[in-house]
Order: sequence, then structure tokens, then C-alpha cells
Amino acid sequence: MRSSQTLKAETTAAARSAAPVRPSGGALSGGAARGRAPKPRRSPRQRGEARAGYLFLLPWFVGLVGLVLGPMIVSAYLSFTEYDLFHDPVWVGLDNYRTMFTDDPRYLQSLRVTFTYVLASVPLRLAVALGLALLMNRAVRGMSFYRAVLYLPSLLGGSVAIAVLWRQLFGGEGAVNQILALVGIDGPSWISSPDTSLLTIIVLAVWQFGSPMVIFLAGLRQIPQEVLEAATVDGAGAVRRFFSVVLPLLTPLVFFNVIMQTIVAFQAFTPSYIISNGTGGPVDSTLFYTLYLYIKGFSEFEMGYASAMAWVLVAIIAVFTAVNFLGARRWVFYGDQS
Amino acid sequence: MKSTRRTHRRHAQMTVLATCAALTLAACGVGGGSDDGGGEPADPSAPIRAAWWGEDNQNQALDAAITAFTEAGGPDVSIEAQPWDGYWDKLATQVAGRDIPDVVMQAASQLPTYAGRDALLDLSEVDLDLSGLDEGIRDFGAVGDETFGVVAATNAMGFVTNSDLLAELGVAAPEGEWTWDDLSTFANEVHTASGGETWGIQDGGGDMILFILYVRDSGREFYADDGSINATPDDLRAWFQLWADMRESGAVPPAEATAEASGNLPGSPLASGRAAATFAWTQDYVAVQSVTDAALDIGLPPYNSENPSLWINAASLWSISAWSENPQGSADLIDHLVNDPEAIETLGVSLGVPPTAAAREQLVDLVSDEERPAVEYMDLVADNSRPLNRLWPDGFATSRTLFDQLDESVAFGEMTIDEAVDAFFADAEG
Repeated sequence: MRSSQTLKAETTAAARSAAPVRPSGGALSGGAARGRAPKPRRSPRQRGEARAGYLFLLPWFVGLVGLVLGPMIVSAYLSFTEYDLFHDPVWVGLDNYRTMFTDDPRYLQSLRVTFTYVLASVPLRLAVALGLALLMNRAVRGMSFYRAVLYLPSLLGGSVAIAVLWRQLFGGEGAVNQILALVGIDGPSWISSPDTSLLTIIVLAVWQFGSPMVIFLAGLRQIPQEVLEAATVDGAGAVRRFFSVVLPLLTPLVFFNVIMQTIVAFQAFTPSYIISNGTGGPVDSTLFYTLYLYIKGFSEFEMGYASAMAWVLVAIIAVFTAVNFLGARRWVFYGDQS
Repeated sequence: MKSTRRTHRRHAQMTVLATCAALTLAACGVGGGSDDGGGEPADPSAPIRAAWWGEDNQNQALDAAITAFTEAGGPDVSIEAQPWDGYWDKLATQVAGRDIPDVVMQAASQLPTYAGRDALLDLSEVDLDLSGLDEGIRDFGAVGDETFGVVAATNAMGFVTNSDLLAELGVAAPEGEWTWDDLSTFANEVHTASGGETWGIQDGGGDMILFILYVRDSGREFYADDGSINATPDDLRAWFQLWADMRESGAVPPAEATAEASGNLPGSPLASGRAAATFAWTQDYVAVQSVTDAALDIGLPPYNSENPSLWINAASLWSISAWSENPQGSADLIDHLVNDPEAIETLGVSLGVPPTAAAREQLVDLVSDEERPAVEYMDLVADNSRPLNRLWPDGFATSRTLFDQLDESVAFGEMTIDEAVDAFFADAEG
């Protein structure tokens, strides 16, 4: 067996030569390189087309301003006010933000719950997605059927119906405990014990591995056979090929999935809302950030406070994403780097 | 996107303009002053909107009664029915938009919140005959000197037992005069008699209404007349201890079982035969009876004739939006629902027991067998109750939620009883 140094150098070289067919460019940086032609002079017809283009753009634009940008700016304003939905908002400066971090134990609890959820569910979900993508990435009869079946949970997972089902599965007399009883284990009521309730929601999240799986699968399809063959010829086994060839070539997709899934995970709402009956219980063990925000805004009529919470969440997600991007320089491998 | 950056710049001005426009609109939504509908007289035949929370049977009954109202010459009514949970979220949002339905169903616990924030109409501004309503419950719609709601139906808390199960175990349900200590004895007896298979009673430690009964049982009131809390930390400590002891002995389900069944009547231990008793509102008694084969009884909670702790409660009220453009039409609809004999027959006891003696008399022969014990129970309560000294103050709903959370923390061992008591009173004072 040759030294690992040589192996790495060779496979890297092969990967570099294969760079143009790799998927990362398409997924992350878009087709920006095209269409950078010198500014053309426009004929009346082109101008008409441009107008039509804007016209087609209009519904989206109106939606963006009316439903996204406008409410966002208003909520930024409200976050500095005390607003009970009934009376006009009263300016209170930074009070809402101060209360959050100094005088609201439930808020800190919601942060704890949400961070635990994000840090546990995202890596687990991606690991499961990658594992299944590897299994799916082979030519077996009926594979497309299996792929569809495995994708199904993701179509259903965020829905109310599944959350209700989860309540049944993980209840004291639920299916999970009935199965455990067969092997003599007397399981707890998973959803209503503070020690395990968050776990059931993490399991639910991991189960929705479909969309990262599809992305990984597409990435695996793009890995050039000759690179893998070269590694095999060099004497690398399956495990070695995975860690030294497949995984490095997939890192841009891992990166993409980590970013997207983290953002989604921070905003998780439905499962905790349904499974805890909208309370975040038992004893606030499933009090997700967005759920607490919702309780503050709509049950306790503290819309100003809820708005401030929303903006802190935006900041948290921004920081997470930024840290991810900074860290990415160290581990994400683009084919065109040397 | 990137390729069109240049052209975007040209439209940046437009974007700014549009954003400003959107902001102005939003600002109107937030800051627009309340329009009391003064000025020109409203048209009493203008269409109105009505909203309530309810289950299917209630929705159908109300729908039918309202259709009859329109057919008899009333204004057109568009209806918005919702389940309890979503109802309040939607109503709060509609208030923010100054756009609540003309006729809204209210709860006694929420009415002060909405009335105190100027979302409801003082009913003295419309022509509405409330003389038929029972004396004691007419005040439920009042805040200060003004009336904001008409009681739509009444209910009361009751002690519900599974009589089949008790007969099987040979345990008698408490009757006549009895105390909260007797409750504990009863619950432990059930647990022992069943060989530990059955819980005596569902956990009620987190229900502030029951704690209010507990305090009133000693002749005092939970709220002082000024709306501050009159119960003492010692009361609350004794209360949490009562339930903690029962939880300990197995007379009451463990915290996990209680948490799992919360908000789910058909899945409650009583409904599934795992507990022999529970405290429940009369309408919940009817609902649980309809999902279980066992015969359920409803009787008075711990009771002494010197200080009856129960009160006849407003299950729901009808209110009118402060921004209604047809307040008189709205009042006519409420009048129809509360006083019209045909509507009374259509509604039956679907919302609870009617608030007028005339309606109850009319319904005596019409109620179903499942509903009858609840109606008869209300008669019993009428003779053995004592009106509340004051209505729920603003903040009642929040206290009630906190009470439940603290009890749950105690049950799961996350808090000591003393910590929970301190937390409750700290919040009440803060």
C-alpha cells in the first residue's frame, strides 16, 4: 500500500480536473458568469420586453414589499415599544431587549431548548441523510420507489397530522412503548416527561431527512467514477474512499445543507406547538423559541416583546450563518482551490 | 439576479417610495384612532358578522338560530366559528386591526381584557332587554359601571364520579357536607380498594378555579374587592401539599400521566376508566359522558352549607364590537339568541344552561338523557352557591396559566412547594 500522501495528492489532482462537472458551482454561486456581456443598446422591442418583464415581476414585488419588507420594518419599530394589540404602541427604547436577557427565565429556557434542538437535530439529520443517500446511490431494481418512500416523511413531517401521530406513538400507552413492552422494557410516557419530551421532537426532526438526502444523492451522482477508480487502484477500501474522496468532494453540499437546515431548525414551531398542546410543556421542556414568541405575542398580548424576540432570533441566525461561513474556509473543499 | 443589478439601481427610488407607502399603510393599521361610530345613525339592516368558539353541535345550533333570525327580517349575518384555541389568537389579531366581528362570543376570564382595552361596546348604548336574565349572573358582563356582555349560557364546576367503577370497588362517593380532607380520604380509598390499579381522582392541583373553591370553602374570597389576591401563601402551600400527598400515595396520577392527558378530554384518565373521579365544568361532564360507556355522576365539590364555595358561572357571553357599524342590529341578534323561544329551542343546552328562567322552563322536557344530569345539577347549584364577591380582574387569565405551570413544576419535582408559592405571589404583586 502506498503512503497516504501520494494517494491524497493523486485523488486531489483527479478531482481538480473533474471540477467543471461538479455540482457545487450550480448549487451555490448560480449562473452569474453568464450574461455579463457589455451593456447592449435597446431596441423598442427590447424595451417592451423589459416592461413585460417588470410587469411579470410585479406580483412578487408587491408581495415582497407588502407582506415581507413592510411587516419586517413595522416589527422592528414595534420591538422598541410596548404594544398590547389593543392600544397604540408606546415607545420603551431597549426595555424589551433588556428584559429578555435579565428578567425572563422562560426566555432563557426557550433559548436552551432551541439550541439543544438545533445542535442535536441538524447533525443527526444530515448524518442520516448522507447515510441513506449512500445506500440509495446504486443501481438496484426499484430504487426510485425506495427513494420516493424515503422522501415521504419530509413531505409529511412538518405537518400537523404527523405531530398528532407523534403524540400517539410516544404516549404512555403508545406504539413505541408497546414495542418496548415486547422485550420487557416498561417505557415512560415519552412526550410528557420533561426528560424525554424534547428527544421525541428531535427524533421527529431527524426523520425528515428527505430534502438533504436528495441533495446529497445528486452530489454523489456527480462524483466522477474515474476518481473513485483511481482510489481503488491505489488500494483504498470502501471506508477509505468515503473519507478521502467522497466526503471531501461533498463538503460544499454538506456546507449548503448545514446552513439551510440550521436556519430551518431555529424556526421550528409546529411540532412543539402540537405535541405540547401549545404550552411548551411539560415544565417548559419543549418551549421552543418561536413557540414562546407566539405565546408572548398572542396569548399574553406582548407584541412589542414578541417583535423584539423575533429580531434577536434574526441576529442569532445571522451569527450562526456567519460563523458557518467563516469556519467553512477550513473544511469546505472546492475543486478549484489549490 | 446579479446580472440585473444595474437596472435595479434605477428602480431603487421606486422601491423606497413603495416601502414608504407600505409603511404608511401599516402605520394606519397600528395607529389609527378608534372610531366610535358616532356621527350619522347606523343602518339597522346593514349586514353584520358574528363569531364564536364551539364544537360541531354548537356550530350547527347557532347557525340554525341565526338563519331564522335573518329570515324573520333581521340583517344578513356572516358567521365565523372556530375552536377555542384558535379563536382567541384570531380575535386578538382582529382587535389589532380594529376589525373584530360585530357580535363576538366572550369568556368571563377574557371580557375584562377586551373591555378594558376599548374593544367592546357599552351595551347601554343599544336597545337590549336583559330583564329576563337571572339576577346573579347579569353582572358577569359588567366592568365597572358599564355592561359589555350578555351571558349566553351558565355552567358550574362539579365533582364527577364514575359510579359503575365505584360500585365495583365498593367505595361510596362523598355526599352532603364534605371537606377537602375527605377528598383525599376518598381518593386513597379508591386506590387501595382497586389494589393500586385505579387512581382515586385526576390531578386538579393546577386548576386555579379549584383553589378558589378551596379558599371560599373557609368563607373567604380569593380576590379582595379591589382585585388584589386575598388568599394567603399558607392557603396555597396547604393546597399544593394536599395534591402532592395524593400524588405520592398514588391516589392521583403521576405528573407524566397528567401532562399527557392535558387538553384532551376523551383521553383523560376518567374517560378511560383509570381514575374514578375528576372535577369538571358541567359542559365537560356532558362531553366526557358522551365518550364513555360507564355511568358518570355529577355532584357538589367539597361543600359546607355555611360557606358554599360554588358560584354559578358564565360559560360564555355575547358582546358587541366597539367598532360595529350596526350596533342595534347586533343587539337584536343577541336579543334573539337569548330571549326568542324558537331560538332557545334550537340552541337547547348546546352552549350550556340558558341564563333565563323562561328558557330553562321551556327546555325541561327537551333535553337528552346525557344532558339531563347537568341541567339538574345546575338547579342544585342554584340552591347551594354563593355569588363571587367581584368579577375576574384583568390579569386573571395570566394568573391562571401561571398557577398551572407552577403546579406542574412542583409535580415534576422541578420546584419545591415553597418556591412555587413564592413565585405565584411575587407575580401577583409585581
